[in-house]
Amino acid sequence: MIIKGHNIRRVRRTLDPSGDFWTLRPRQPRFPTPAPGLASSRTPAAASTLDEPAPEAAAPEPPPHEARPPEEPPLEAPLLAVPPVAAAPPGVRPLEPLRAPEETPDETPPREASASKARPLEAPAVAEAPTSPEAAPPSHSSTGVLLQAAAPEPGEAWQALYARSTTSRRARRTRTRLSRARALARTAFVLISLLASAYYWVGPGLQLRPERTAMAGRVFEWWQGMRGVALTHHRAGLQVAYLDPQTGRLFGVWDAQADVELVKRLLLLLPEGQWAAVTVLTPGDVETTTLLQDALQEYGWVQEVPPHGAAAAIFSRSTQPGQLQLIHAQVSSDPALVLSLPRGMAGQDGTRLASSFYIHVAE
Amino acid sequence: MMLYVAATLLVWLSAATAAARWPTLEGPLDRLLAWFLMVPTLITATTLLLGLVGWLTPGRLLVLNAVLALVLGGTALWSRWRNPRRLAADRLQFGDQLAGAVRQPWFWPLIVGWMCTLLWSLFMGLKVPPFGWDALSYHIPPAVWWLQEGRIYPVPSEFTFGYAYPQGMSLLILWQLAFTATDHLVNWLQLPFAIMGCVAAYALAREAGVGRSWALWASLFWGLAPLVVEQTLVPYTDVAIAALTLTALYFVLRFWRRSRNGAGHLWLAGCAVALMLGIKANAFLTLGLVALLALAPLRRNRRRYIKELVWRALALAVPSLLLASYWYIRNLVLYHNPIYPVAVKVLGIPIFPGPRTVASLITVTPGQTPWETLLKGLREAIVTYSYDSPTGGFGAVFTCLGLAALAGALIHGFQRRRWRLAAVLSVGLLLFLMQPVKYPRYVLYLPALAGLAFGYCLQHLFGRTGRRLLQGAAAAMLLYTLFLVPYQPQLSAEDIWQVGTAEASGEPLWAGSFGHARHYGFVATTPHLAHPESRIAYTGTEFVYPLMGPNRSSRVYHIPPVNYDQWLAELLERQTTFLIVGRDWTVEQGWAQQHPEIFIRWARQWPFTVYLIRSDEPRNQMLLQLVQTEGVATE
Repeated sequence: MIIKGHNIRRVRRTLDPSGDFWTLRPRQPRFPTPAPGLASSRTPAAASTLDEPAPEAAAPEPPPHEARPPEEPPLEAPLLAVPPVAAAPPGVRPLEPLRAPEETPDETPPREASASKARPLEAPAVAEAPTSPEAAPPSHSSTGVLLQAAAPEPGEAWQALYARSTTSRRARRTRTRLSRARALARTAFVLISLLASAYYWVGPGLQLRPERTAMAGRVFEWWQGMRGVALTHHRAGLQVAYLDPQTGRLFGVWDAQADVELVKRLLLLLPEGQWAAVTVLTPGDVETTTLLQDALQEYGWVQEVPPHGAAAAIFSRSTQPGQLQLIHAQVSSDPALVLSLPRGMAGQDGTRLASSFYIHVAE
Repeated sequence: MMLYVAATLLVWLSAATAAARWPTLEGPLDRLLAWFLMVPTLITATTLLLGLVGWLTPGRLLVLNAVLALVLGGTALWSRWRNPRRLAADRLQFGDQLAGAVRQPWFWPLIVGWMCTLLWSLFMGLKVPPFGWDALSYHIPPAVWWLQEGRIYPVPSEFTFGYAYPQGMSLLILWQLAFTATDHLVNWLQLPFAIMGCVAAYALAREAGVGRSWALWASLFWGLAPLVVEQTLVPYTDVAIAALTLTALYFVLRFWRRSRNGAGHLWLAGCAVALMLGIKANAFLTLGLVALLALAPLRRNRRRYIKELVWRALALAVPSLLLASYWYIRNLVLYHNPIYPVAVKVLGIPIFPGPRTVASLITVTPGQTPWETLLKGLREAIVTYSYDSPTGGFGAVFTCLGLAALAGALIHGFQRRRWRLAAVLSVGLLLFLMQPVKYPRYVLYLPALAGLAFGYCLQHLFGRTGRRLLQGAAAAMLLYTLFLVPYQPQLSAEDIWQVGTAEASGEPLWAGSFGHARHYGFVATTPHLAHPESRIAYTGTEFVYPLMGPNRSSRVYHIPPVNYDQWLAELLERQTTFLIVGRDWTVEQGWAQQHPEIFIRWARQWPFTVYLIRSDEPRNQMLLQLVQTEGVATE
């Protein structure tokens, strides 16, 4: 039998470890020491709350320093209205008073009812009492059932107590309410999650949003750049960088803004055996772009730089100062450009790139 | 550096002792969070105390904290000697806390990812100098000025609004700067708050009734939110504010549970709110909601409740008065408005005058309503994550699962009458609704609440398969955003390397495209500008901190340009060596160009122009002799 949810607590509280019988007692002790034969039946339920609590678990685990959350309702309150023990005659065990006869028959769920019917005749009276009102005289219902039968088998008693606990009106209402709450919350979760995921991931044409793919692509390139030499340029204007291909290091970066003359001077000053990278970001600066293009033509630059775009070029220097050769050039009509040179790439001067070189030009 | 380590250890010791001895605290989470909270509280209290009486020097700070540690440590030892069981019984048991989670397959990749973010923050903090708009403009400069003057005072600045904000964060920055020559420790300012936020999110989830394994999702949602990771790199305030909000909520909930034992938890909540108020004025919203929760009637005995109300109100008010009231009193005296520059109106009647409204002050995208900001932020249509991105920053997991979890947990929580959970989520959402601008970094506690709700939904709404699916999806999305986070268009490995090596070798920083590093580069490449005897007047730039030089030795100040004669008189009276003009269109630039006999052009590096002031000061006279040889730079 699977006992889950808060009913397990109610059943546990009925254990009296001191005797070989079952009885209902007021709250204490809450988790009494189990009888040796019952320890195994409690273990799985207790263990399941730690790792993967059952979905029906009524109360969340209290913090380690807490004994019991104060707002947790006393679950067994109506069942524990037990008359004082002293009122019972000696030799009999007090049990909870029976409910009114009219409450019980229609409250019994079919499953529990069939379980009661299928129970053998020698089943304990404690199990039969609530489900068969005619078996219990009215006088008994007012003073509590007095048990005179022999102690029941533990398994049957568990079953009986579980069945009775689930037949109460309160428990049934609670179960219905809780399952509705759970269904409602779960539906809300799933619906909102689906809508929000679509809003986040899906773009026009029911395709993955371009922002997401572009971002992932940029980051991938950036991570690639982390492995080599990276040069970034994200402000409109011109930028010149010196690169030592043999060590794979940048050793100078100048933000020339719109100063084409400065770019030319920097290219003239490029040391022997080194490379220079010129990057351009031209959102709207047509004049400067044209000037630069004209100035770089003498070094072999033939590409046309669009007025709203980006460009990058790598030059190497020959033995003569000021004599540059274009190694690689790339132009983009968008203000974003990624240029990647692999490790080992040879320049016009015969030098080879010691590590991959990566340029990212973007607004 | 040794002094810094010693002083910090002393504060840690004091905080640990206070947390251990704090009445009504129970359990490791209580004490750990109390320790996290006590450290900034003690630093704020001691620096504020010494600063207001004019004794603010590193030595006195050290001595005061040593005395404090001695007193608190002695009290704890005495108490332990008197009652040895009391402390011994309360041991940390983190293994038990994490027992369920460590068996989950998603746990280790996410924890490793989180550790990587911490390492990334540590690395960046060591490598790059402080950057970030707010940090360079008005978070760090006051701390330097107070240290230079030995007292806390209202600093006149060109950027009036920024300097009228509460400056509690500058007190924590002051601590990072007081004992060392380097300023890289400032970058680590928010790192402890990031960790504190993770602990607070977990504790809050546990207190709201979420199981151990599931409560970890609250920490992960928060700790791995891109905005949190990004902001941990810069000395801003938002991570700290969010962590303190979560901490305050946690202690109020603990007070609900333990109100019979006294208001000890509420005093800690009061400390958290006080620190928040000292950092940002919009913490008044948090204070209001925390006060509502704290003053809720938890007992049926009306007489006793009324009696307790006084203590509860005191627990919230006294820390705020001690730790945060100075900033508001200062503004009241200077501007007749405690929350200057924001005007306060009630029913259209102006109560406190001010030039701006909250929306006008914060909105960065004109013409965008708060709800549009919210929706754009959820969609994250951004080029990259940034520490102050106006749109986005919570990550994919928040939009795709966090929102749904908030709704599901709220519905289920109310139906199941889990009032603590409902209270936490409702307060968080209410705080979000009351926030005038839904700017993600101002509501950074939301990912933690979403994670809490997600953990709750996993625990209560789904079966085994559903849980596994959702956990896998959440872990995948967290790792996806974690992959995107380190990317910065203005930063590459080469940038980081160059900035770090240039500073380490004493070479000037290159004027590249790295954030505001060009300001550092400008100061470093201008001859004789950074010098302990330099007294520099500035105008036309917000980024004051780099002008103070590598060792923060230069005295830098702004003189309001009322009229030329008065302005010049004050320049000479303050023995000014250089005038730095950051924008060509400022009135000071015009005055300087009109009077070349007094303002000698010393350097020009766009957009800055540096003028040497001709005066009788020895340093000025010495520099005047160098003008012909090395001073002037051509246009």
